[in-house]
Amino acid sequence: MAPIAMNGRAKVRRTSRQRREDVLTAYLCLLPWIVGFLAWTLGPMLFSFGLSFFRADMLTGSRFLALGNYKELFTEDPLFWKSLRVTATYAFVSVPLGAALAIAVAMLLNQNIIFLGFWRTVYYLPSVVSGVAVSLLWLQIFNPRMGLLNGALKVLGITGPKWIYDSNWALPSLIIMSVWGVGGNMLLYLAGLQGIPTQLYEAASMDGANAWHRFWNVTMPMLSPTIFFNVIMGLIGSFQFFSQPLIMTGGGPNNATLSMVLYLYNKAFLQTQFGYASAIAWVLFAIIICFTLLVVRSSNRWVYYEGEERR
Amino acid sequence: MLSKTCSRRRFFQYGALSLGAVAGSAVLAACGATPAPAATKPPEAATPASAGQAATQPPAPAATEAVATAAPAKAAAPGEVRFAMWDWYAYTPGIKWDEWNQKTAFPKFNEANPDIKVSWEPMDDFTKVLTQMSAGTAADVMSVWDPAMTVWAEKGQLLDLQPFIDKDIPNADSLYIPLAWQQMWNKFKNMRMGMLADLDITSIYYNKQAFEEAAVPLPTKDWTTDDYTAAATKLTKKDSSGNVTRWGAEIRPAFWEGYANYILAFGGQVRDDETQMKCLLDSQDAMDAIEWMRKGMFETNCFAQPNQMSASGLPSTWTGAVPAGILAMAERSADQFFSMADGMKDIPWDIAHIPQGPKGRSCMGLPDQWVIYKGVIDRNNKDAAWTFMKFLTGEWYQNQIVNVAARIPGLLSAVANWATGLRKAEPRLEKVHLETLTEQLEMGYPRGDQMFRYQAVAAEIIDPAMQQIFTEGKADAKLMKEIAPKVTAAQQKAASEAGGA
Repeated sequence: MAPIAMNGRAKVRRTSRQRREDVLTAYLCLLPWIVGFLAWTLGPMLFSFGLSFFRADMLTGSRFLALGNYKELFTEDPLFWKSLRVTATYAFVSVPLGAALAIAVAMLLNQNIIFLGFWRTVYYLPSVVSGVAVSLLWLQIFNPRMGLLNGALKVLGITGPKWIYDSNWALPSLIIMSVWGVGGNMLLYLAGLQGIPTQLYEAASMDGANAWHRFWNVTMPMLSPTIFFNVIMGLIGSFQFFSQPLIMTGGGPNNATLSMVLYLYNKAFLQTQFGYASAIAWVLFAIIICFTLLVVRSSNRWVYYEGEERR
Repeated sequence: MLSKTCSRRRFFQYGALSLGAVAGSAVLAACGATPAPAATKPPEAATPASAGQAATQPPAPAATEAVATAAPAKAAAPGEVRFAMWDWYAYTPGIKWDEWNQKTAFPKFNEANPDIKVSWEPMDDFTKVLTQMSAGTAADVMSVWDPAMTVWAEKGQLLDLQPFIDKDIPNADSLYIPLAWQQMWNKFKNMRMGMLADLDITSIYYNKQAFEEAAVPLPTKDWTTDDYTAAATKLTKKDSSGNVTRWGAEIRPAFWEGYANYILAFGGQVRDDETQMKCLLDSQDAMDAIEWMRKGMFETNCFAQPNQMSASGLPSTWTGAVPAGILAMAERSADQFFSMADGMKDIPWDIAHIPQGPKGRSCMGLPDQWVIYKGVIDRNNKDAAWTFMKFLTGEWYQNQIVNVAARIPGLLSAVANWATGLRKAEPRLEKVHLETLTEQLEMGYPRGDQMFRYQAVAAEIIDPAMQQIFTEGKADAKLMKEIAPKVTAAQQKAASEAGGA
């Protein structure tokens, strides 16, 4: 029995050593990312958190204010509330609108039509164009005098608005523009649609379900994990919208497109109030986390995973 | 019951939370990037200024002299100069200023100064420079313009050049264009912030043929704002449906200097001269000027509105509108001569004076500057940087600013040859009365900026108001009665905070 026991112990030692080596290898592989995360994300984040309690311009020294920046934000700064309203409006309109359109386009492109590959490419193409180029393009489209949009409205006998030059229309303009990028989400919905087993539709048809019933009771539940993912991503992205107002409107006219990130950028880099800008960033961070949690918690009620058993 | 240890639901939920955290942290990291560790230490000497003191006085010395708390500058070898220059001359066709500097100007400098190596750095925007200053890595010599130069000076980031000037160029006051040279002096910090690169002044660039066709007399040296409006009205063309196809002029009041100079011409001011903190836009003269511009844009529409001009499909709305026939006259900077010669090949054009206002005359007279970063003291290359600065502001380089870039140089002796040099460089300018610009300088009506002490703070309130008036046409000059006290209060608050920081 002794040799067998020895073999067993040796095997355990080997396994243990092997496991340690595997763990070490894994950590070594992860090390570049961990170092990058600590140095370029977590470090600056903690620094920014500290900075948010100071009046700091990063050049001449700073003064501890405790919660002074946060107090000023919430009680004395109408522009902060304005930027919050602009950002929230943009997020809560553009995300559902984008999701609805992306699903609609995905369903259309999930049909057996001719030139299917071409149409899929055409719809996806805009989402690979850089944000700055898209903004410049839409500047032309929104041009009140000779833009494409007002030209089309004129054909219909409608006098178009001044779009980004009118404070009532500037934010709706940016929301309309956000639809430009639905191609990216469309692709994910398309993948989701193609993953739905056809027998579910066949069974529903045999039970007498019409097209609407099949969409509502089969497609939507089966697509809900993709919708969940896209809504989370869209919400996070839209709360951070920045380049469009920076390039197209500068936050105007009359602060109608002043997003929170643009406002914090202005505070930091135009007014050198880095402490105050950090406080805005942390408030935005808290808002993003809150809404992300809200969507995650609510997902138990509306997201369905195939094969999942519920109590 | 969940069927697996980590279901897809859990995976997606954790994934979503991680995404939220990472996305949020990207914003936070961007805000807190490039930290200067020492800068976070509360300065011991800093005490909040009293409200009464803050209302009238600049920041306390303790705050503005706290530059020592910023990160130490990165060491550089003596005799090496990093030169970061904004490409002011990017609009000049055929000129690549960075290439010209490196291939022609730097070798010329090295002939006389073989021990000093100059390296070129592009200057993207002032955001980058701020972060470089915070990290102590800004270039030694940089191009800049206001209000950034004043902000950098107030934050203690610039070398005071006056001691160098006193030693090496004692007659500097008489060498450079006085209007521009005065703007290099910061009366609050009592220092010479920079040296003069060139001067930009606005004039009226007009299509002569349009005047002849509409039988409108050409602008004269002494024309007035009333003459200007009358000419613009007659030059405005409409099609059979009543849509404007060409506007008489464009005065760009959405641009700070665009309205500031008309306010001066109408006898008003944007702010007081002494403290530069009291907003005077609610004075009757200032409001009269604003109303004159607004009516021209939104009542007669002889002046084009921003939405009628911006993104109009032209390669450059800066100069393109006159050659394209969308404008008969345009108020423009003095940096477009080669472009205009290209665009107006077959159309006669000329340059006119800015019209006389009811109580004075004023046009933009803003310099571009070169400054030396204070980090050169620690880098031990301040003498090399100053030697290079003397080269940039000396006769050879200043003459090249005329010949290569068609700009008005800061050096008076080079200004004298400006029109001749420019015609030599661009023969198509032979028939253009370039001397209008030198006449403007002689007549003394180009004016410096009307910036506030805390310009970005003022702009945060004034710009949206001006957009309501001049971009949207939804308000009139009376809005200034509401805005001006807010601006003054915000300036006082900023002064108080600067004193206490």
